[in-house]
Amino acid sequence: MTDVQHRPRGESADVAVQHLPVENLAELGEADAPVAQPASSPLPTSVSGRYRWVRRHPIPWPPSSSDGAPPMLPSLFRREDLRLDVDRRYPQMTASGTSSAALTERFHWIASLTEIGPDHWTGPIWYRDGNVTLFPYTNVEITAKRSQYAAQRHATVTFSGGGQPSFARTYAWESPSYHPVEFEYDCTSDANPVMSIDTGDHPNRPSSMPLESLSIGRVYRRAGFRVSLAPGGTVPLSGAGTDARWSDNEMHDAMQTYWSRFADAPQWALWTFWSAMHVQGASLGGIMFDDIGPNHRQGTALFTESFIKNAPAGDAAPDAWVRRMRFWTAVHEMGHAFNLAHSWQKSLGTPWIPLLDEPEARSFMNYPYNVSGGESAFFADFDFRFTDAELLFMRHAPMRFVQMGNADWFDNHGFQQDDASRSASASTLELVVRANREQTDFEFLEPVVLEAKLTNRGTQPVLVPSMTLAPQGMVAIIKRRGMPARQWHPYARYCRSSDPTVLTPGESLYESLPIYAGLNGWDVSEPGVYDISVGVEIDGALVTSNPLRLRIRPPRDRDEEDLAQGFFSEDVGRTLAFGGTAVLESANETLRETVDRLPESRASWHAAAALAAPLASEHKVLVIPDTGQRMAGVAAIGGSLAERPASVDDAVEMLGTLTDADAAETLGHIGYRRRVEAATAALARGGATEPAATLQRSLLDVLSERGVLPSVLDEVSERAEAYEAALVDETDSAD
Amino acid sequence: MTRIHVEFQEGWTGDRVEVRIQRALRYAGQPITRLQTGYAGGLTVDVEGGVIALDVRVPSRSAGASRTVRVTGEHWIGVSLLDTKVTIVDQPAPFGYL
Repeated sequence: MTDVQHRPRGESADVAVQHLPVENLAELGEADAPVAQPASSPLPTSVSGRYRWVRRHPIPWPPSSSDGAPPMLPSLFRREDLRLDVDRRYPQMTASGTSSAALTERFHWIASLTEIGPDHWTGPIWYRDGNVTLFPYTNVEITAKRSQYAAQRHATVTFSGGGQPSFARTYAWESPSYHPVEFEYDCTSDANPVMSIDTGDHPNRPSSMPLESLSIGRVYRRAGFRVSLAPGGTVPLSGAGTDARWSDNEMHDAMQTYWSRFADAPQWALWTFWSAMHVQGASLGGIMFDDIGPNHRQGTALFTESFIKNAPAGDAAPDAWVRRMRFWTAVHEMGHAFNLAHSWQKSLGTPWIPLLDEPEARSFMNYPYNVSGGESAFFADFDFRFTDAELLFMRHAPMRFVQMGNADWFDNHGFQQDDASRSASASTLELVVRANREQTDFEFLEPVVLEAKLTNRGTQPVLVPSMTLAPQGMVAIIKRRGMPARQWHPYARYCRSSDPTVLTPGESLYESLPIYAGLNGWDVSEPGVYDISVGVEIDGALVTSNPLRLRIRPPRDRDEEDLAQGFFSEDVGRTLAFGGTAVLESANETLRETVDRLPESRASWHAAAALAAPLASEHKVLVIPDTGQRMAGVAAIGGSLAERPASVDDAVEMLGTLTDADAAETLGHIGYRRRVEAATAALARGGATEPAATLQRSLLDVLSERGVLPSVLDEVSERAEAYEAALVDETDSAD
Repeated sequence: MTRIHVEFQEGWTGDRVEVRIQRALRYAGQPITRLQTGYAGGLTVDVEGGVIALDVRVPSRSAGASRTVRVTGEHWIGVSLLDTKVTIVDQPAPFGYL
């Protein structure tokens, strides 16, 4: 949901630029090489840039709100970015913020700012996007702390309005840039690329424009990006076929082959391809060609021998004109990759906020020859910059609107990797989600249980919390083909101490992931194809898995169709997730029906396991008489606890259907072991030692057949031996 | 004979368009503008030089425009569509798309 109000007019950005001391130019990251942030430096004259707040520790739910903050996000890992844009080049007098909880449950806000004192601004929030119910505030007040030590710089934002108590948050300085981006330039041998120009080479220019060497990277650094360059290379002309002209498909192929960063994922990276000519001919000077497939805007192309090589007749400096036009075209096409539209098209399509067309704009995104007076009028008044509206978009719009290859939130992409935030330990950890079966096909009605595996792929031991893979701490994203992605929320959150555990090189943690149902209902039930991705926070960084694709088969017969309505209910979902119920009789009825009508189905094994658990031990049940009166208290209306004895024979009969490797496969090794051992423990406590020993030994046989880790088999075997020993003792005593 | 290039530029989203030059139907199609270039396709015809009568109709939007274009050599005509309005521009040099 996006909430946009009328953006108030602030101080003119042009006036602010004129106030900028000349010596501040050195601080604008003008060098083409990346500038490392020194630990200390003279007191900075600017505070604009990106700041960050990170919550690094697990929080119980509901949170204690010790800092007065409303319980915005019920998730383990939270990060908030603040972008403060009040000085330096082309300040927009704007602040924006993004809140992420393991990259989900995000909201985004933008505020206009007015200076009310030294390093002190205030203003209304005029744009909100995402889960705006979590962010009701309407105003911000911001103070910035300068320091010669980067680690001591921070900005404090006080949020107010919206009917909520004011709340302040302090963000630590991160970077003078708002976003990173990497460019790679690859060329054909017949192209004439121009990645930088001397702005004084052509006499037609604003008289006030500084004379400098201006590169493409510098243009985008001034737009607020931390630009890095990947090594470029040569693309063979053979890729264009016999006509030596490039079609969009040929350029797509070249991008996938030669771009070192090519990936089917959103990323702050862009491929720029310099060639001679497009199949459209000399009329096409350049194009952002990447508008097919699931990840758009990753590739742009320039055609240096098209009309852009033809200086106007009589031009005072034709060579400089051509260089400038090739350079300008490159920045223009790359601007499209940032999702900028042409200046005269701003109101078309779906602009992120209401925009006005700017047909006379002196911007990289206009056509110089389309303005009044033509290209000479354009370049006489052009400062090699984007407009304020374009800078506002690139710096402050929700990232998915700007970032290359991005699309609608979680659609087609799963998680976004934020490489800059990965800690040293998190970078050596590998997270895998798997199904422990050859084909990731599941029967209709079969609850989908996966397994998460976290492995230390480094050469050093790594310390991780033992509960790292607990379902409530993981973020699992389920994307069914053709539907929006959704996050799985397990029914229960367990509060357990999470002592650190050491993962030696090659060692893994494992956990069951019963993603079939949760607080959102049955997330994986309908026939179709699903992509599942998971992520966990470790040491303040995110570790994410590659997507696992699985398929739910359609119903095989009428019986399955008939059972589906009752099976895919809240009660059955909870019963299966909690391993059984003694009180939800409607759920148990459905599960018994499943066992009776579909005895050979995998769903029946899940049903049997859930039915067996409450039968294996005695249960206390709260009995509340139905008096028809409003309940004042259980004791007041004669409520009581009743003991329902174990039904050992019934439990053993149910559990006997699970002594099969396929049952272990569908329940998942971890869940299968837990269910069987919970039952054997209950049986043993109740004196049914012999069936406990038999079932435990069957468990060992099944898990051995499934190739489970030897350490696990040892533990299961140990318990089986204990039951068998106890049985021997019982037998001896009886004798 | 004079070569005329008629190029569909902004605003085309698949509506059927009919182009008549000197009253003869020379094009009937459904161009779609690529927003990143502002170009949707075009046609090239050779006509007798002098005064060219151009008529563009978009029946689904009840939109259209006519223009008389004086040409002395190869000529380029750009046609755009905005809601129910067809606009025509022309010049003696190729249009450039970026």
